[in-house]
Amino acid sequence: MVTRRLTLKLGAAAGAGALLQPALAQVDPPPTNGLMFPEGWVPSWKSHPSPPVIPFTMPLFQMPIAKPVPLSQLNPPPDPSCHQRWNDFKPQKYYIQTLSEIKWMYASNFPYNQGSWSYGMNGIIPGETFVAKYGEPLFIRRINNLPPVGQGNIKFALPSSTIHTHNGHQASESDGFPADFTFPGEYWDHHYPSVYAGCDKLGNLVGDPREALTTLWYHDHRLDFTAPNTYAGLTGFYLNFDAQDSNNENDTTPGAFRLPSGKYDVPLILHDVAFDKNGQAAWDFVGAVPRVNPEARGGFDSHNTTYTVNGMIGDRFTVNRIIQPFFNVERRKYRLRVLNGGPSRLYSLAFTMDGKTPEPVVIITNDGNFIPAPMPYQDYVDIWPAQRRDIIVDFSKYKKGDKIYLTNRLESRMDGAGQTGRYLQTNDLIMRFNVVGGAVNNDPSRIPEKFRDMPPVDLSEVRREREWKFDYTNGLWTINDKLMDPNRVDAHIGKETAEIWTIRNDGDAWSHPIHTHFEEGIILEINGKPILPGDIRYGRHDTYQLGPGDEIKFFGRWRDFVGRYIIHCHNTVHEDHAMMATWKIDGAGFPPCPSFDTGEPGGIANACKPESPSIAPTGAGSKTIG
Amino acid sequence: MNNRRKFLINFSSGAAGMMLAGAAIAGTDVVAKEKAKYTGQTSLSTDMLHGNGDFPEVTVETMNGETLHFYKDLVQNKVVLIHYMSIRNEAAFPIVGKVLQIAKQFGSKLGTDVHIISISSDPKYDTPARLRVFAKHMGIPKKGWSFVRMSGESSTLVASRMHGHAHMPMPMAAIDLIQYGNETVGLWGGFPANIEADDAVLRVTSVFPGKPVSGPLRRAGPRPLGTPGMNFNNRVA
Repeated sequence: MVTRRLTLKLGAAAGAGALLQPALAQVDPPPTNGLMFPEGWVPSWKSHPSPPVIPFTMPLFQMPIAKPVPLSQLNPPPDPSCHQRWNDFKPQKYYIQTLSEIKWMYASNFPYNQGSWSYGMNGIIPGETFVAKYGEPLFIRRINNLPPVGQGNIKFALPSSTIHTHNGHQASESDGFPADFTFPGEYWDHHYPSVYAGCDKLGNLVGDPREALTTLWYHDHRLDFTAPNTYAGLTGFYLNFDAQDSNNENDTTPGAFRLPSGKYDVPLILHDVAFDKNGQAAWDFVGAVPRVNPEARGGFDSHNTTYTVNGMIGDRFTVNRIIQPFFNVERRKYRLRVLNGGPSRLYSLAFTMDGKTPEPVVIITNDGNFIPAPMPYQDYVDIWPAQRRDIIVDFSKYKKGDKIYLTNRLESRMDGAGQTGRYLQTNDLIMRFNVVGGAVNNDPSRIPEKFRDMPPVDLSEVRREREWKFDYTNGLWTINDKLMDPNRVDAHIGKETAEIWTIRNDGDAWSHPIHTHFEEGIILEINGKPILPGDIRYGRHDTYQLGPGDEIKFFGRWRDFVGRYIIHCHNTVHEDHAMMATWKIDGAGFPPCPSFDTGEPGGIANACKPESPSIAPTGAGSKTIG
Repeated sequence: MNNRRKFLINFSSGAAGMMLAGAAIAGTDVVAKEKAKYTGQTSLSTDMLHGNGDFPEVTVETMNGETLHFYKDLVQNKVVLIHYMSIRNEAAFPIVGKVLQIAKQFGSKLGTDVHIISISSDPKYDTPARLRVFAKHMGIPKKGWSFVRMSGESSTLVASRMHGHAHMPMPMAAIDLIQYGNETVGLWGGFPANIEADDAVLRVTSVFPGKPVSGPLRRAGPRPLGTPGMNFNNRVA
């Protein structure tokens, strides 16, 4: 967790004197990197940088909204017997998304303008944005039309895919489980019920509106190849709306949030990418090493023999797969949905005019969740891989011609394993907002005083506590000293029960963005300290910032569907090297405690714990918060 | 205790009386020493990685006493599984036994479509003679499977490529990844040694050279609820 305190403690040199130049990360020699690799691992682009780009000359790509197709277009038709609760949540809209190899233009100058081979979805990267409405279930057929192994132009990715809608409340068989993959010529059917969590407990088919999710995304989750497959292009947004967050800034219905909508609601996915001299995206596990016949490899070359599994850091910042784009904005409010699409780089982001001083904004979400009330904010906010923040930026206070930069100050380790503990001397300018036009006097959008109440934390629901230890064992990324085996269930969870999970990073030199699927968690404590309203980290999460030595305790409920899901590191390079574990929701109710198959090593708290007053975040004898 | 496990325990405990091969392994590594970091300078022009999978080239000694090039002779242009093992650790961590289960599922494809390289992480102990006895007892197929050992320096280089530490692999591993890849393409992944054999086979065949797809689309999944299929996924059987 990169708090300002920690960063300073680690000896960060704040970015004093940062210049407004389009330079990428200006870093000191790579730091000592802990237990794994010899000091000095450097990526290939340190010796052979990606071809130059004149920044802020290409406009931001705005992904189109996915369009439904008639049911009759699905041939063969969907098979309801393949899906849990099909009739409860019968799809009202149907979509087809085809994966194929495409050429994508990351920048307008040579060689990028020759096109970079990518894994596209319906012909673009990122893929189309799915817009879902609670109460309106969706069905998406994903067709794998990628070229078979050896037949395509992309060599580092595997033409086999499973697509996960990140933390959607969907059944296991539609979740994008890592082993549920397709091969070329195959398709997978996904059923998205668009239901608030908690419907079974409430005895209806609506669920608890406090469980509403907002900004989700979808991405490849293929066993062993998630990082290269997402890097190749298999990512996109999935946005949820309901009566409050109604996707209509003119909505006069009482209770409607009236947040900026339409073209003023802009998803932004950040990926850092390295390119070879031909402008082709290059995957770089090995780093800068002399290679035999480098010309055949796009000119990558130079000095290390260690094949890193720490991560993948690119030297070109892309937003919606355009290198350092610009975006013309009117003088009014925008809802900017910022997502770190990985694979490994950590960001600490702010909107700045001078490349260093944060402008005032309003933060409204945390991952896929509204925070209870808008948070005026004038600082950098940490966004790790898979994390999201919806941020309202009011451009009305700027003059025509002003330029505002999405700016990163956090220095990542060159091997991709986490942060160095320092801020950059010269910040990264990720994209630019050009303020255009005259004053807008009729901005109908609003920022309400409050959003949704948090679902309550009722400790009497807690059936057990679990601990997930993230570590590095014998050169391998492990969870509770084990590697991912999709055939092994490490935690059986009773449906309609609650648990408290503690996730802990036993390493002292690397960072893990930890994601657990399907249900949100409410953070109770970080490193033994309660997280209270007003803290930027307060609220519901699906991805947790687990920095060196960090320990996070959260409360969660597991409801409505059964089957296998996973918890994993969302540095997808770690994930691909088996830092992942399977948990399973068992049928109705919950098995008696003695029959639990724990899967955890001895010494880890596995005992059923009906209640645990000591972990009540607000103390005062109350078992309920929120 | 089954016969194989008895053999492994006896083999290990009786090892002290067997002739040690000594540290020297025939052949000279073509990979040079550690290089200057950051600078891009290299000490020798041969200090390079080879092929689409970025492998170092080293010499290895097979269980038949041959000296081969690791990359050129065993990896290049092949679909390969590569893993570390040690005879003395097999009882505690039966990685060869697991790979054997996988090999049996490949059947006649072993040696043609897919190859296996088992590298000793205990090269002083795992002499060619011992490796031959070990392979025979385990019932290792003769075609398509190479047991090799190499010098510590070479092993360190290969381990660095195989997602490991930049030092000699530990002989007494308790968990490990088995690397698999299609070197013609440069497509490499790794799976944990303890996964089920049918899971491993599905992953390895995923990197086999593909053929152009024709005919109607096939439903990969999910399969109808409650119908039989693989335990670890929801694919249609």
